[in-house]
Amino acid sequence: MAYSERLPRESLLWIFAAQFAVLLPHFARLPLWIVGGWLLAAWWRTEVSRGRRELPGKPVKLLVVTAVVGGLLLSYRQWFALEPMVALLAVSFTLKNLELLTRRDGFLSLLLAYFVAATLFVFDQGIPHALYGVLAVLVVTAALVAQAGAGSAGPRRAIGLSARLLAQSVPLMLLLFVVMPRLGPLWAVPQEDAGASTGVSDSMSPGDFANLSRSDKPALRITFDGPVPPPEQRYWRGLVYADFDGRRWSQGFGVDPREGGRVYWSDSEQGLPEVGPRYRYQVIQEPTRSRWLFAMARPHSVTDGVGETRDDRLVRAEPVFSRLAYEVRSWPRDTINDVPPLSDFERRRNLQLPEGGNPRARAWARRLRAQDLSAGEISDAVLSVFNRRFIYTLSPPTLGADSVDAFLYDSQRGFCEHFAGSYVFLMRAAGVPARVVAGYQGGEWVDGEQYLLVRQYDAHAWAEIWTEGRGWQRVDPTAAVAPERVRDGLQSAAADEFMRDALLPLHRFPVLRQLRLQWDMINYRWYRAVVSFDSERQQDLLRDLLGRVTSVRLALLVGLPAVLALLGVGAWLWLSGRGRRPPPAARLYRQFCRRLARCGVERRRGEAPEDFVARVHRERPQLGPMAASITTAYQRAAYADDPAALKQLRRLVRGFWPSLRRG
Amino acid sequence: MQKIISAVVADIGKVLLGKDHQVKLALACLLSRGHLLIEDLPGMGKTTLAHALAQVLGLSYKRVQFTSDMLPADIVGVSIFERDSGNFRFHEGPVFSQLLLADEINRASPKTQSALLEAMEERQVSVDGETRPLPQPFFVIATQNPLHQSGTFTLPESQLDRFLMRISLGYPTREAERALFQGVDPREQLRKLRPRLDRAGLAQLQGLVGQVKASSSLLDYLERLVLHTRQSQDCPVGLSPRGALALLHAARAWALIHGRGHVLPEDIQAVLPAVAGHRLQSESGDGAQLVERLIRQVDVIAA
Amino acid sequence: MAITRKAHDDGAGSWRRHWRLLMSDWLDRRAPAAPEATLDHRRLFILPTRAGLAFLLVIALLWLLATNYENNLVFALTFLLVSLFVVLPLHTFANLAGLEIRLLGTGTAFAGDFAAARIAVVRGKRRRGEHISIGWPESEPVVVQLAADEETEVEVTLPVARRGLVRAPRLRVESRFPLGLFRCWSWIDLDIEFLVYPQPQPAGPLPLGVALAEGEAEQKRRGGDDFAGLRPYQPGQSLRQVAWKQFAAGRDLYSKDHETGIDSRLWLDWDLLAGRDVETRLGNLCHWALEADRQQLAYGLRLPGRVIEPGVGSDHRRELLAALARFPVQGA
Repeated sequence: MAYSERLPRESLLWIFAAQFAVLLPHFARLPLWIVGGWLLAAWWRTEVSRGRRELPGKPVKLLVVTAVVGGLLLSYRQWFALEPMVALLAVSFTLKNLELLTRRDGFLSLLLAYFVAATLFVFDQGIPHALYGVLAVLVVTAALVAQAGAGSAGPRRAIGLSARLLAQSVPLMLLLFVVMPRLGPLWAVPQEDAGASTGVSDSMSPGDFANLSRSDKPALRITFDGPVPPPEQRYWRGLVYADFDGRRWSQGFGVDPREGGRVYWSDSEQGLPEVGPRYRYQVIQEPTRSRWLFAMARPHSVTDGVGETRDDRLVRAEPVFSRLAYEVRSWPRDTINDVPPLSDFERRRNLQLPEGGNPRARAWARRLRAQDLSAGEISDAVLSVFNRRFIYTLSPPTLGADSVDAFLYDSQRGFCEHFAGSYVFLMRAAGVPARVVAGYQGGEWVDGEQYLLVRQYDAHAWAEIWTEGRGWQRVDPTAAVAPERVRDGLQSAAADEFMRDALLPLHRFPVLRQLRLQWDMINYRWYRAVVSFDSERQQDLLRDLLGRVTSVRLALLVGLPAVLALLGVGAWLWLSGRGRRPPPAARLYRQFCRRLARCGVERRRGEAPEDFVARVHRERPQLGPMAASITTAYQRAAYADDPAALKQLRRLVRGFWPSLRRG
Repeated sequence: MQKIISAVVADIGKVLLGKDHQVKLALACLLSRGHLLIEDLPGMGKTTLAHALAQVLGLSYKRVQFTSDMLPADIVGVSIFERDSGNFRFHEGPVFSQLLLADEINRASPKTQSALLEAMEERQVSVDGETRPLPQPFFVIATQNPLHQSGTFTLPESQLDRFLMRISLGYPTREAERALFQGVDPREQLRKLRPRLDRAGLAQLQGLVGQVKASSSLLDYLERLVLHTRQSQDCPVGLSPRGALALLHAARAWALIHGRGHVLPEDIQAVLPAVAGHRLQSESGDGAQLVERLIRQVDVIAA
Repeated sequence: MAITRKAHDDGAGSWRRHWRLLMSDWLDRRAPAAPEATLDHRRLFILPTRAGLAFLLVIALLWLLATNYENNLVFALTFLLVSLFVVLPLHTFANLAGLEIRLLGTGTAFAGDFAAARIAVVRGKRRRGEHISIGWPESEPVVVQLAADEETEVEVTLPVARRGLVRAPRLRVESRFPLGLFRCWSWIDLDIEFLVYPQPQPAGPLPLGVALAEGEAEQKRRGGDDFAGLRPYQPGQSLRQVAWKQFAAGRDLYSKDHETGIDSRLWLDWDLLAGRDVETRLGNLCHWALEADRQQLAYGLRLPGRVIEPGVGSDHRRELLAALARFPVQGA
């Protein structure tokens, strides 16, 4: 099989199958022209193999290459990124298909296919992707098998052999996976940064949270080390909006690290007490493509690359492009006694309001302020109004220009963002520093794995007000209207409206809900066990396994199973390669012959038992009777298929030790 | 049954002295519904054996002496126009008998030979477009002079395959020869023989042959034997599937004759020279030697 | 195959030749010539192919990808491929191990043609033997597929350039099963010798009737059926041959001379081709022999030191061609 040999047709088809298998999940991501181009090239090459068409000549190829380079330039502005890389690989498949001539080309194409299969995992490490990846690798390996030629190209044979080879490779793979050191990135690599971010965004306009409430995708999974906070404490803060422009709440200047906001990175010291009651937990966050993380109030994280901002949040140096796990400790606010006073700058920030607009709300606030009440009393007054008159709904009416006024005095129907936004507006207008906080509230407790599953529809907005002596205090205006929203989650608060637009109202069926929870649990385990297995976890595991990680023990851990596995495969090959085992009667008879041979009577190859026993009679008369009965038993066992004779033969042969008896 | 078989063997043994092995082979051949070729010099008792078999088994017996001027019609029969009735009447040839002794078959022309061989194979003859079945059972014992004798048409190898066995009687033993000298007249003995079996009995015996057990160990040995003939450099032509099947049939009959319900490798070895000898003939080698080597080289016990 | 040919053309050929010599010496000691060989660990060699090396490169690239993206699934894939690379040679080896190769017979050939040897390949084990290529380095190998417990016969061919008894080089048995990433091979010497006839070289028409007939040959030719003429009677000749009619007519005693057809007796004589070099002469004789055989003439051969009486038939032809083939090589 020379490399320059031409590819037979079945090899060709297998190569296309392999390419298709690895490209299929990328189809959605690739520009249409690349997909079309690949299909066209594959079709063309098949036509060539049928003799209906010629391979393109040099000028055509040149034209195609030019077109492709141009197309890539047009489609992708940025070159140093993941998607262009995949596009480039797909394009190289396409171009290679146009000159897929020899076995060498076939091998190249298939080796490239392995690489493309790997890029699939860079985009997503979920279970479905992993399973698909296994399938793709199976097909690519089967295509390699099929390259050998006609006998191996049958689908059953190729896939079967491929599956067997891969299955035999799995034990060693697992071992390598566990023990091979992870070095950490050698250089900065492009991350997937196209596409809109999901989840809570860095500003809040009317309708944002209603949108989120339609998605039941997981957002966070939280495991606790120690006490689990009660449901009314489960506020996962992500963003703090301090700036209101009359319609939209946003973070405002000087807070976001990107705009130079101060961040206390995890390695720096800060003034949090090391003692006192606190929650310790790990958050596994789905990719958001943004930098903010979610935690309870007063958080501190020791995870690399995570820092705390001045407004009590966690942020990350890099956007979260793939699932991220971080460790957090939180000190509940009421446990902190020593509160530094609010700086002037902060006070100004949290009292900021637009110049005009919403006159009726401002008038009400002025009235409240005039009564010379404390911050808490003002807040209570507002909340009691909310509680009396307002209705919680997921589909509020659209509001006009003075949105706060329209909400407070006209519609009086709304959603967390309306309550939080107008509450903070009123508080600020009444002279109390206040801010809107966005994040998630609540979560579903998964009993099997002991973790809290927070979904997108748990997205929530609430408020914080500054009270002298106690600092920032959380106030959830929504709780005043619909306490069950905080206690039991969105589903019970807005039962009729909840997930009304969903294609499949799965949440209505308890069984399906249970199944979904199970599935999430499996995902969670997968993530914990496989995807987030980093060098730290590796060290832990090795320490668990070995006690102390020394090079000798490590070598033993690696070497022993590797040797055992190889021995196992070798033994399997040897066993499967051994000739058919002779039937038991023949084995026993051979044993008998060997023992006779030791005392000088050797059976000749073609000598039938009858003739042999006659010779034994002649040459060793004293062995004759025994040999005769063994021979008879053997004949009955082997040729009359008499099971009783087989037993007798076994007994006779076991007791037949001529060499011992003769000394 | 067993008694009858030993009686048959003993009866024929009285006529053909000291040739028990050959007699048993001939009987095995007949029981497994095969035809027999005896290759020997004249005067060795070929005719006697055939006649004795016919007598003891109660078969109708005809003998044809083959000559070079013989025509197929002399064997098969001929349709003769009868003026009285105004149509053709078929006169059956000697082939319409239960036991046909075709003496010196290699003296006849190939055309005549093949007419007989065809009848043997098909167990029916076609004359003037009309197919006529031969009697049941139908058993041919053909004799042949050693090949190097002059004036003979050697049977082609493909035709030899039609015979289940080829045996040769060989010179009588000393004791047998002495008995002959002392006046034991085989012809006299022959006349004294009485049938031991009727047609139904024979059919029953033939049916029993098929019921003799051939275990997988035995088939394994058979397979290895056959494979060896096909692979060995010694054998220019391997044993055909028909040959292999013939071997198994003959071995079954041999086992039956020896009163066993199952076949032993010894049975195969016993019939192998007769069954395979003429099928393995090579240009140079002697079939008998070839078979002997074959038996020596293939292990009886599975490895 | 391209590699070996390149080795021949190489400028630094002497070093290579030396290496090959060493190698073949070593092989001869390790696996001596025998008409039957069972491939075992002593005769089998295994190394990755170029595709296998490329596979390693892919593994390295995948590892880089995995490390830089800290992507555990890519790591898993990388390690899977590494493990595959470890498991593969076992399969490749097992595919050939235990294979029995037996020489069944050799054919003859004319120089400049291909000589063929029949070889039995036996997979006596419960395993298959797949994509096994057998052949001499210089020629296209035969690819064999064996089911378990199967035996097959293949004909491998070797181009032969010179006449005589040609000793075939070691046969190469190779397999890249299952993925083509590893190559397992063996060099076996089945002790194959070919009898190579000279290459036929046209030498004009058959030398009919120009044979330098003399001596014994003439005597033998007499006594056929055709009446050839009258010769004076010599005492001792058979009286049956006397031409009594002529004697009755008053003439001397003559005997009738009967001969077989003189033209069909043809001598292919070494001396007829005097003046050409040895190999050309042999080639010419070979050509004549074939021509005569084609025309079904009886023909004989006279070589220095060897005379083959005229005859016909394939055995005769074989004998005659063998004599030509075995004619001593000049200067050897």
